[in-house]
Amino acid sequence: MNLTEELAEKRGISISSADTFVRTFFDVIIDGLDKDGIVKIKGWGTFKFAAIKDRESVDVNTGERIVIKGYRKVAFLPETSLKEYINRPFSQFETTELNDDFQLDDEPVEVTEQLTEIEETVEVKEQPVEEVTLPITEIIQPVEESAQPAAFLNTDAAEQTSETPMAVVPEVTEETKDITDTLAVPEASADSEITEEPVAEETEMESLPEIEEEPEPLTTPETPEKQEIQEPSATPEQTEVPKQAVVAENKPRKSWKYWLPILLLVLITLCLFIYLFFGKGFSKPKFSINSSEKDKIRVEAITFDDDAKASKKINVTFPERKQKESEVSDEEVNEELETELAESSDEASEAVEELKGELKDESKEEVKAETTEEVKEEPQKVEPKETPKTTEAEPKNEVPQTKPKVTAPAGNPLEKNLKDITFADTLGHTIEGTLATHTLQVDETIVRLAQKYYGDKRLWPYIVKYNAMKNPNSIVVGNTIKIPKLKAKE
Amino acid sequence: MNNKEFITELAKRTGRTMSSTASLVEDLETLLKSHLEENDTVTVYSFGTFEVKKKMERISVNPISGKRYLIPPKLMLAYRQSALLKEKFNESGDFAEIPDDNEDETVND
Repeated sequence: MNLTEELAEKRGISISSADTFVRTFFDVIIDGLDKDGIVKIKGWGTFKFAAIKDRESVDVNTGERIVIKGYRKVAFLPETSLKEYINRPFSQFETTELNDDFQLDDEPVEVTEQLTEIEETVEVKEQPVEEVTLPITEIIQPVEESAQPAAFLNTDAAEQTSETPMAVVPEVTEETKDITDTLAVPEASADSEITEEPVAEETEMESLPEIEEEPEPLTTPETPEKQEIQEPSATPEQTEVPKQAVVAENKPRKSWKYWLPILLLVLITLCLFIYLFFGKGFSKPKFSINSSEKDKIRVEAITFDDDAKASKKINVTFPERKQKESEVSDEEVNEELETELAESSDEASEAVEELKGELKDESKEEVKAETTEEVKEEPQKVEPKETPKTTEAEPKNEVPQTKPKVTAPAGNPLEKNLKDITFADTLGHTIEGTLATHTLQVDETIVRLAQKYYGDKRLWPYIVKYNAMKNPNSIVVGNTIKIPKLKAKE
Repeated sequence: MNNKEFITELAKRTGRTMSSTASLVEDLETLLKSHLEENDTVTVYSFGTFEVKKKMERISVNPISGKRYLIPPKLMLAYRQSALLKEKFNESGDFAEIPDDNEDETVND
């Protein structure tokens, strides 16, 4: 970095002349400063004096206070063009105004936005999951090992479980319109084919895990065709499962096609309901996981198509199982539910666990074959998980009006999730009169007031609303604030 | 001393024409820029140091409107005078304040 030499090179002049030029250049600046106190050079900028005032300091050694004398220094203000040239790498940045009204409010909004996006993408499949995922995730949280595969399993399991209420409950549910349509078919088939009532129940429970893979047939239209071909192969596997075997075999094909549109209808209506009622509250992390996981599943399914047999086996089983479900579900299940609730729930949980283990291995082909074996083996490992699930399962079975009640158990985990995710609760309560008035002290915030009076920070928006504050981020000490009395909505 | 005076003085001292002097000044500037661009510091003995400093982004508040602004990070050309220069310009007297308001407030309690 020798300015002199470079200048000589650039201009083709001798180094000595370049040297004198550079020297005189700066000399002139100094002289000009001396004379006028300011020097302006085009392309460079302005050199001028800046005053440094006297300042006090402390002698490091003696600890005495000393005065450092003021002086003047040469300051350089580069021209705008030079400044901009230097700052080119960052030139794309601009000063932006920060909108700090309700910063807290922004964050939950973001979450909901993402949720809606996700919901849109996953639409049909997700919504059944929504009912039941929460309890299941609750179960799985203690068991952290089963990170992603488990999560994915959960959602699927959730779908399965969620469908059981639909199938079982239909007579009682309020949404019966849709479901009754679907029911009509199963009942007919059920009459003819249901041999043993206990068997039916068990088949239902066991069928659940495999229903998990329903999404694939739904998404990939190819599957139904293959299914028809390979249903025979699937059925033998089912027969392996001791009690299931009796029911399934020949019925599924015909009704399968019949069922697809109906199932879709039911799912969509369910989605609408859920979305309308609980649209705001879903936790984003799970959904993201679900969606991604489902993608994976689809991918797997597609890839598996190559080894046709394997994938087909998997796909084939679904329709049959659904039908079994439905058949079973209609009448006999209801009759026997009460007696066998505990058992069935246990079986269901076992089935779910099987699925997890299997999926980890990714050996989908073997799934059904192994199920019977694994059912016996795996429950031992996973027993902790089972217990929570049984509790969860029971309410559904017992109370066929599922919708409200299934969601009710889900409520607790939902709230937990909300606490994690949102910082404000604006929907869950109504304001009923004044609870107290509060004079603001130093270091108090609306959020802290909410914590103090309600024990819940997230309720701060009500205070803001009740006092019609324009900017809750700036409150003045000494102002009096009315604390609203809140009543939780139901 | 404005640009014209400066060029005139420089031309007179180096014995060059005004125009060649002006173009030399321009070249000197582009050389300076090219060095600074590569994050070099350019030191001119007896005059001072030019270097590029990065200012981090910050939040500033308009005291009147109370609005807050995020000011982006930027690269700034910083000049620091040499010790020689400081000595030269502060040999005589008290320059604590450049407009010569002679209020000797050095009496500190």
